[in-house]
Amino acid sequence: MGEKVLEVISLRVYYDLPQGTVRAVDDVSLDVRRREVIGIAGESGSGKSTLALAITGLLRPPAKVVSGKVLFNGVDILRLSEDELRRIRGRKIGVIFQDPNTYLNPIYTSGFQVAEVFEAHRGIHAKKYLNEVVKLFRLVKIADPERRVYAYPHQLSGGMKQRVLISMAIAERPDLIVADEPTSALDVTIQSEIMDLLAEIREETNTSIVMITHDLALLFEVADRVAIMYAGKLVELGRASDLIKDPLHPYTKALLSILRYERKKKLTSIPGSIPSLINPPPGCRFHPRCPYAFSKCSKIEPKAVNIDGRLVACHLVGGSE
Amino acid sequence: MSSVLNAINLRKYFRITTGLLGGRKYVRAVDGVTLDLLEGEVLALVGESGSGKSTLGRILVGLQRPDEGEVLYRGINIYSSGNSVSKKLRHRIQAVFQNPDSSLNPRMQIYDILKEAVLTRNPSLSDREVIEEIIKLLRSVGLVEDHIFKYPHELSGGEKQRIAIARALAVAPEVLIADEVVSALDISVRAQVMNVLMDVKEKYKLSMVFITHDMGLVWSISDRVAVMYLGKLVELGPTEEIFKEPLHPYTKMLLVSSPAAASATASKDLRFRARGEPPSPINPPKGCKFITRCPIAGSECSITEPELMEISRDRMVSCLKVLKI
Repeated sequence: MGEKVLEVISLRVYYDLPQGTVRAVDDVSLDVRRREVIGIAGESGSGKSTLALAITGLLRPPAKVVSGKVLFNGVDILRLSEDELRRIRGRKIGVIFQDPNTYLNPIYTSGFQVAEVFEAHRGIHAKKYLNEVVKLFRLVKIADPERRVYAYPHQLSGGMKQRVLISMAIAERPDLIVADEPTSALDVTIQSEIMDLLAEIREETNTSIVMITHDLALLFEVADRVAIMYAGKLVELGRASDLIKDPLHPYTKALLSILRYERKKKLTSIPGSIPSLINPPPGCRFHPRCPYAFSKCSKIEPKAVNIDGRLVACHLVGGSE
Repeated sequence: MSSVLNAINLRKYFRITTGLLGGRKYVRAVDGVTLDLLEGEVLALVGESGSGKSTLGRILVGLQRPDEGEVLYRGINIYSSGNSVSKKLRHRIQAVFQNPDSSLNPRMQIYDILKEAVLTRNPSLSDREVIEEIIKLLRSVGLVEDHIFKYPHELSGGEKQRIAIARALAVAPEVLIADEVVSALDISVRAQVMNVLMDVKEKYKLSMVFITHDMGLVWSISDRVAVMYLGKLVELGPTEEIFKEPLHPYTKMLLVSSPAAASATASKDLRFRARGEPPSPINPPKGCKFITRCPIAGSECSITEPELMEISRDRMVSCLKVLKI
């Protein structure tokens, strides 16, 4: 087991909105070790993207950190100034988001924008770095890199633009890459290529990857460990292979049975819908939709217990037994 | 089994202008597709974005007149009369699309949305009968009367998609074209809506074209699969056979690349793991259009474009390498 690159400790991030306080991330703890791919899975409104923003120091009002720490190589990201953050983000922590169009400037060439990453961190004009960018493009398998560095974003396909973003994220060989839905906007065929690429980059650069997605089938294929989030809470965290074989939390169980597509049978569904995070259900937040819920579940919030290295927050598991 | 819908040699090219003096070029969105929808079946239409599957869906439902070819509904050409499809035929073929926000009027209550549809089919209904009909529709998609006076924005994504399904059912169609109906929904809700869709399919005896990129859903609900690549059908056959033994290298690529299909398919040949992206549909390669990504392409593939050929009962494929054997 490698050293810890990132430690999230009892993190609470709330949004103050006119309608009330959204408890988007509510007492979440997890750690990421060197060279590990950790997957964070959840549906919309689970808090997974807020967690990603917290890890990368990108939280902005109305989001506020109520309590907790995000230790990156021992330093609390949440206490750093914007200047200090900028020195870490892009250099020590690479970030990849879902929609490359939002992050690429349409009026600059893709190569120049990647070179700007070097300029920002090393202070020499971007043009000096074009050779390094060509090398990076080659690393992320952009065909014909010498020509492509001069291509504008609109001249590239969606998969290609995502490769440009990945090359930006890995430009300074970061210790950690945070990828929030990196392939959700892409076709499965392109998706599998990008995933293969991230796996190769991990091999070559020893970086750790936090991968956030709603695509569970994909996550279980690529992640070493998987954290399952529901309504702002982390409900289960463990090795991907253990979770698949023997999911403990009823929500994990339900999600995995949805993924076991059976021929011409009804799909397993979870009744009800995802709760509002302004007024989450009392006790266990999953209890209104849980087939195993009993009286305790609507009253007392289950604490995460450690079972053979796996964390589970459910009254049915450990604890009372 | 008789067929409800026959698509015959459909072509739809979209003209685009490139640059000031660029001249005219064409995107061959649908490029000679012939396909039957059998009575009571679920036909899955799969392919990457840009494969033309959505354009084909729009042609089948009567929303996009093809440049060439015809769509026969029980033998009647739906595009024969003037510019628009006749109302009566339009009711027989309905569609549900991916994004309910763009298909439900935000200023109308659910009652008005469904009333409009109910009255189109039967304008002589009394107010009371309309309400009864609406409640019946809501129940058949798993919703309750409480939803009747809500606006679309008061509903969750899954509920909105159920309303879209209810509205399609209101005119008592026989064919439903479902284009990525659950792709925008969360996984736990997706299963609910899929189950509703399959329930109403049985109850209303629908034949369905299910357009999707989710190979797991294809396995779970479809009877046959049609695979499209750059505007053409490249493989067609019964779902179980296609998952057990895909023939076209592109079908193999789709199955091997899709984590959701992993448990269902016997195809594990990693040679077919995806590589490259589809070429531009404006300038497709000569010969077989898949040649730029195909791991088994030979020199003959760049010369002759393969045709879709029947290679065994119910199975068609267009690949020179497969046909030669």
